[in-house]
Amino acid sequence: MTYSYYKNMQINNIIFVYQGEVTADLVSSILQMIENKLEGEGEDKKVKKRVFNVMVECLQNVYHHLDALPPTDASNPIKDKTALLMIGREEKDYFIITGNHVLNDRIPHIKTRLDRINRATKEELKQLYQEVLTGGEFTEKGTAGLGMIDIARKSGQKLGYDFHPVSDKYSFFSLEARVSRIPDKG
Amino acid sequence: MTSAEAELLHSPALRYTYPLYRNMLDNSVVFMYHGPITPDIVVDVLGIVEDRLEGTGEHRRVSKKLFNIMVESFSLTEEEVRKGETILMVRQLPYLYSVSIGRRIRTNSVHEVRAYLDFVNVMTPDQIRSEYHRLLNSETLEHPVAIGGLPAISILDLARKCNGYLYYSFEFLDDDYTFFSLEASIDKTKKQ
Amino acid sequence: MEALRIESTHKTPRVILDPENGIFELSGRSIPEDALGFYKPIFDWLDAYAKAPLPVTHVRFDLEYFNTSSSKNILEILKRLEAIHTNGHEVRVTWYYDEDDEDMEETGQDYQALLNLPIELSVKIQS
Repeated sequence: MTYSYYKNMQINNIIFVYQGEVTADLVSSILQMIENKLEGEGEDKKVKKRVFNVMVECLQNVYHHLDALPPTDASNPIKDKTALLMIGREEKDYFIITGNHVLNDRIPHIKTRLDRINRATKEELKQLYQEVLTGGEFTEKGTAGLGMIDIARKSGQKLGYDFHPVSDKYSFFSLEARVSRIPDKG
Repeated sequence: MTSAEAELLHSPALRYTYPLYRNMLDNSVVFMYHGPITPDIVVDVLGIVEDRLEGTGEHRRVSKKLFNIMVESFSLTEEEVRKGETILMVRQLPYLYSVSIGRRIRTNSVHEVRAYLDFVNVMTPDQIRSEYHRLLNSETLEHPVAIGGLPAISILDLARKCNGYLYYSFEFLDDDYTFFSLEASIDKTKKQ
Repeated sequence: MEALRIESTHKTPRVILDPENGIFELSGRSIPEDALGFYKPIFDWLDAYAKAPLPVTHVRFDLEYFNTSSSKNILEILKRLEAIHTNGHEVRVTWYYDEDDEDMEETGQDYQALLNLPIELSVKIQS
């Protein structure tokens, strides 16, 4: 078993992956690790900061998404509240992937938001951010609305995503942010 | 852009996120790290694992054990550390935690490693302790006893700390290298 | 003789070898990348100290965790202390361990079994 994970991580350039509940303490422990890891890699200061900031936003985003899920009961096994956090490094970019369950009826909304974010230019993203901040058309509970815009802005690249059906109620939503290792890019 | 276009820009890992999640969930794998394992990483990993521990007294005891196991496992990877061809994996099951280390070893030392692990795995706790003392006392600092490149004393130490069976596996890669993984687990509930 | 003081880092212990103030202590963590490199100055200091030790030397070990290469080096330190003790200059060692740390307690017991040196195991009070 260990070998197949090792192989998978090697092929996909994954450095680290966590599966389980996401608490505030966990988020801070993971960030600590990432920070030390980046430090150890001797990455450019700007890149380090960018990766770290994107990671913070991604983790916050998962945290809020999970928060938005209905409370667990007999019909919702506890695993709905668990997430996947992944960070990897390719030649040109770092990538941060988060995965968590979402209610199926929320998918069109999330998709629309993501596609809109991906279509936007840097300037447009900035405007979008202000819009949401001041309660524009994307208003919704909590800061999850801002989260993805923030991720896109900080990463400087388009967001990748995937929805994997799990049941008639839930799907698993994966979000990917990429951060360039080239200091002046993004 | 369309979602199809978004798909083109992402890494291969994105498509495998859900299968990986499910796989980890099914195998109770909490955490995996692939890369050079330094003492800093071990310290940080403990920080992550500690957050999952519940309870009070048990929490500290288990956390200490887990940490000591990881610290020791790290010494099993020293050679390969620089190359980063290592994996650290933590599993959490209802009654136990386990730490696995995976790394490459030379294919021609597989039989030696297997024999030594089988030897340690049938020892009683007293026998492990004596053997550990013997090595601690007799081997010199410069020339530790190594089994296929792995420090024997570390293997004994792991066996002692986890007071149980050391699970291991080999995956043949080529004539030069074989992937070796070792799993040490601790029972959450009882004192060892 | 001159004291040896080494400040702790997140990987190496704090070391105080101070005959004038009667403080001999090793505390913190020991997972150095070059264990021998770290410990050698301590061995050298102890070899020099052995020539003119105090009538009684109280040594304190208060370690949070360490790997086996460190445990070998610690054994080397204890062997030198044992030699000083055997030569008629009393050495008393207190091995502290966290109440919940079975491994640290066991390691203290290991050293007790391996050496002819008074080693007292002492539980640290949780703060």
